[in-house]
Amino acid sequence: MTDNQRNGFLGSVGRFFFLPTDPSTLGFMRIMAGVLLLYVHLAYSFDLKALVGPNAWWDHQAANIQRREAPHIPTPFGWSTFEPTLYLDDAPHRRTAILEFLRRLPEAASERKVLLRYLSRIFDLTPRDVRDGLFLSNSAGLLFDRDAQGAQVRAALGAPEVPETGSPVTIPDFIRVLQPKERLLVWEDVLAFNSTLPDNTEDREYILGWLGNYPYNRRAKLIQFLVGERPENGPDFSLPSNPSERAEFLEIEDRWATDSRQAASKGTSVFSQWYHLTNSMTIWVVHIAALVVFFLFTIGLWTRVVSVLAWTLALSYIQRGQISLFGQDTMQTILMTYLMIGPSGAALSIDALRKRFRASRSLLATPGRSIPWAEAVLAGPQRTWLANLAIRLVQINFCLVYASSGVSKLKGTTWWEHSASWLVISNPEFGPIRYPAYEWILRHLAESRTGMAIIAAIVSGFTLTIELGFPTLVWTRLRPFVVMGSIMLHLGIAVIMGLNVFSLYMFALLLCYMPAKLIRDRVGYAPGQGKKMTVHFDSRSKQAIRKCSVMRAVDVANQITFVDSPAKDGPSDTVKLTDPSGKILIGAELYAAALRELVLLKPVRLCGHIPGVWPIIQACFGR
Amino acid sequence: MQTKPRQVLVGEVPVLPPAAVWAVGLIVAGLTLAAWAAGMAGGLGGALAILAALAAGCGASLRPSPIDASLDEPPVSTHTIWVIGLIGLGLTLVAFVTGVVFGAPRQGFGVHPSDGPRALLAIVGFLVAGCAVSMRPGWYGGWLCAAACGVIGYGFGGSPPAGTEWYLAPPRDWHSALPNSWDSVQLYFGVGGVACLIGAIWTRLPRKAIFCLVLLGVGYHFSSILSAITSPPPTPLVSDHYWARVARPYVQFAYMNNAYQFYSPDPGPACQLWACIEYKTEDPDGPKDFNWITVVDRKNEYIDPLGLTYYRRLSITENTTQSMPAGYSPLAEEHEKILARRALAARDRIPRTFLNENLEYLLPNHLISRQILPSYARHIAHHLAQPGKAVKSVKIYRVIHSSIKLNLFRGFDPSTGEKVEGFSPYDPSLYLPFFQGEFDANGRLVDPTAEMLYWYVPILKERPLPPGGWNSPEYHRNGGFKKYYRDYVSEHAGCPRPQE
Repeated sequence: MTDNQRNGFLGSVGRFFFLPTDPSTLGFMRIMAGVLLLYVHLAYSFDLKALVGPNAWWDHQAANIQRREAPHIPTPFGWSTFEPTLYLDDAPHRRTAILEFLRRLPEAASERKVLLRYLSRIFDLTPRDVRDGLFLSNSAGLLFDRDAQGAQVRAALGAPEVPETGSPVTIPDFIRVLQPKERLLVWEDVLAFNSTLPDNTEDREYILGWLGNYPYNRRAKLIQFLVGERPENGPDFSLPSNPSERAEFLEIEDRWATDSRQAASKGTSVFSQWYHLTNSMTIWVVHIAALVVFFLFTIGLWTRVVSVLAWTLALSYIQRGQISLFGQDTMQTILMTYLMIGPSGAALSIDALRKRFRASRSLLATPGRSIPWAEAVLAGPQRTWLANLAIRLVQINFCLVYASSGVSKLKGTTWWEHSASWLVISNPEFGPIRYPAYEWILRHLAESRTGMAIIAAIVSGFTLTIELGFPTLVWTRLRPFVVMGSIMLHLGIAVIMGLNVFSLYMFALLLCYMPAKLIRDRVGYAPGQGKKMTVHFDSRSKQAIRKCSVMRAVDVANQITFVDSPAKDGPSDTVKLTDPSGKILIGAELYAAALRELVLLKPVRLCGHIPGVWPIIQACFGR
Repeated sequence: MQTKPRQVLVGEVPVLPPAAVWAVGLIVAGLTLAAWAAGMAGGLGGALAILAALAAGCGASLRPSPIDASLDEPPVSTHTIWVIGLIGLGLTLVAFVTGVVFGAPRQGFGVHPSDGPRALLAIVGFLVAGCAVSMRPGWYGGWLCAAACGVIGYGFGGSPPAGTEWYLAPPRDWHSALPNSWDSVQLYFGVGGVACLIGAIWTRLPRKAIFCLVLLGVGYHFSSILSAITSPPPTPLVSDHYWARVARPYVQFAYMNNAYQFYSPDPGPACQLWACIEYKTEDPDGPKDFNWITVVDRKNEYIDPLGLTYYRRLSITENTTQSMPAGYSPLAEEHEKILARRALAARDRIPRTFLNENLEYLLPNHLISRQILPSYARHIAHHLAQPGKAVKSVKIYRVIHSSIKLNLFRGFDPSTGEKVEGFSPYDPSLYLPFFQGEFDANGRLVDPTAEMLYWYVPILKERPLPPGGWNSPEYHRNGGFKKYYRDYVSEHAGCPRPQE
């Protein structure tokens, strides 16, 4: 059963996602992503502790609190709105006074009910009476001689008719209309309520101001909250009685202006070792280990494990440094995610060469015998459905990036009137306007209003055309043109806005639209390239097979013909290479010739000029 | 001599009957759902449970089809995989036992001396088990070892007491190979463990079922990204609910929650942060010791050739720009006092400008005022403290570097229609500083009722610049910035700001 038959049951969707594909494109994307990843994280070295250390800009204290606590309250289902348990003032000094007031309220709900009876009474009245009632509380708190002046108030309240004068506080109308006995009870309630307020005049005014301005239709619920009578559908949304629970509740209210009991969830599902490492030495060791992982990812060694590690480590920098991220980190994550899913190490990698080595060894050890898997490996990267899936995921995600970016620009007036392009090219923090030559050019262009308008129109129009057109046109025959357009756009972004790494990541992503054959032809080496050579070896010698397997693994252009020539006097370890000029070479000269002639090793050959490298090669392969 | 290629079944083991697949799938789903119900894995656990159940269902409903694997390299023996996988599992178990033996805290996030070695052992264990998976991904043994490492690394424990789910520190015993102070890595292990469990089941599934499940996964993945894309206001209700209830744990975990709305709807101006650091002095009446820093400063912070260090700093400043949502109005009483305090400052020294109040007073949102700015202040205080010189306070100004309008750049006055001297994009009056507060070294706002808190502190041009602008020799000959501009930021900070 072929792969086509296996995924045929899903029709065109199955073919789109699961048709086996050459992983060369992914391999090249891995190299590009790896180089960028290395660069990005080497750049972290300049600012490592300021970005991920315990005292970073976004330090452990703040980051861990945000990660563990941040409450999330989704919009309710149906025709209801979210009502916070408590409305607090945003001004820090007022909020502090109110939280202190709440902290000092008695633990027992019954006691709170008694002390807050006055508040409960006035909150049932008209806004004017509420204002007068709170004014009375404030006046009562300001009495300098509470005994004597309190007696005066009591006398006034106990009279059949409250006198207009003679009381040190103004008696509100809603009290005046009561019976004397009841008035005195209200006064006792005022004093009880005042006992919950701070002595500090300013703080008391903040609390009374908060109560006076509390949303009118929420006041009943505030009272219920304060006196411990606000259980709703199970959970109790009242002020917690337990001191530690209350302290925690108030702490979260202070930090997040939210009652976390109302939250559907709290915290963010992020991970990073940087949230936990505090020791400088450890931080550097982990950072260097990460750089090693990124290097292994780039060269494609142990890629299946290393790609997951690289994704994890790259993400851990991002999750920790949330305040220092920009577009390139988003693109990096997209790239790394899909390169982790796909077999990015199956081509253009050390892993691929190692697999070729194993295949060569199997074939050379059994001359004349067919080993399908080994022959398939030596024929080039094997097509897999996973490679196609990964490529498709990158392609779709890239289209989503462009579609979102393009559509959201349509909401902005500056993109419609074309001034957006001027705002971008003249931005002093991003653009090259700091260079006098660039400013000089802009000033001369600006002399012509029409000329500038045309340039602005072209830049804005081109940006919108590419971003809006790409997601659809890239699936048509126009793909090469829109990909070129996209490259031009990001080239412009790199030059004009200085976002070089972002643009490089976009280029790496754009590779997903390039056919594997193109990548192989331009980056890899197709069979037939280079000069032909012949190697004679004795298949009975393990040593000889090992040497030949190494050569065959790196002979990606099939330049060498391997001939099994058993020695007459028993197994021989000697391998003989006939170079393109017909000269027979053995030992170190053989490897020198291989380095000189094998197309894949051409770049490596240059390393031979580095002092000490050649003796090492001789020591390893000279025998 | 040629031999017939050997027909190899997937993983060289017989495919399980549908009933067994059902059983395994349902057990995994049940366990994951139980974990979810216990609040161990939140929404993510639920999503994975559903995936596991789907995997089981598809496995049972589709007939397994053997795959001709003659073109695949002969896999590593299962014995080797078991050895490597169990070494990984063993290391993780050692980390677990170490925690128990050394009495590491089981509640809260407190640190313990054994935390480092335990974390290292658990991580290496998971990595080794992961290597076992990679050596033979088609066989479930490696997956199961890795899954066990993940689950032990995530941990287990009792449910929190009823009604206390909102506690900061979990009021329950939590046992894990990883220390509880490494809770974010515990989460990673948990996700990895469940993913490996699913992987183990998938190795037993026919290709068709895998394709179906992959398509479901792709659908979930891109729908989650779409909900993130459409989540910036105005947010459609569907996106709001989907993002909040279904996609959030996943997109946050995988950092796929970007809306991709670059330079949208309009390109905005860049921001800087200016901070005036005051050091403690022995003599409170003696001369004060100040220092200024500017973030971002291209000259000093463009370190690497491609400028990443610089753009990261720029992002740090960008994170202070969000103001309170439109329509927000402070308490009327406080609003009056804010205006009164500003009037007091205006009478004394810092004038209000032509800008209206909505542009002159920008209240940052809660996250910025309560978390980000205090954190920045702590960082600056820590970073700039010197031996024998402790930081007393840090005054922070958020500075909007306004984009220059084309007509100003060209030198055209639209009100008169006449040509005037062209502005430089770096003209000091284009910098709009907003005072963000004075913080102590612990990040506490020193005076929440400061006169200028969140107000624009102007830099005003006092007299016309000479021909050629601020780059002309005459400008510098006449005294430069101090002669032509009045810097109220310096006056407000009580210390002259260095001029670049």
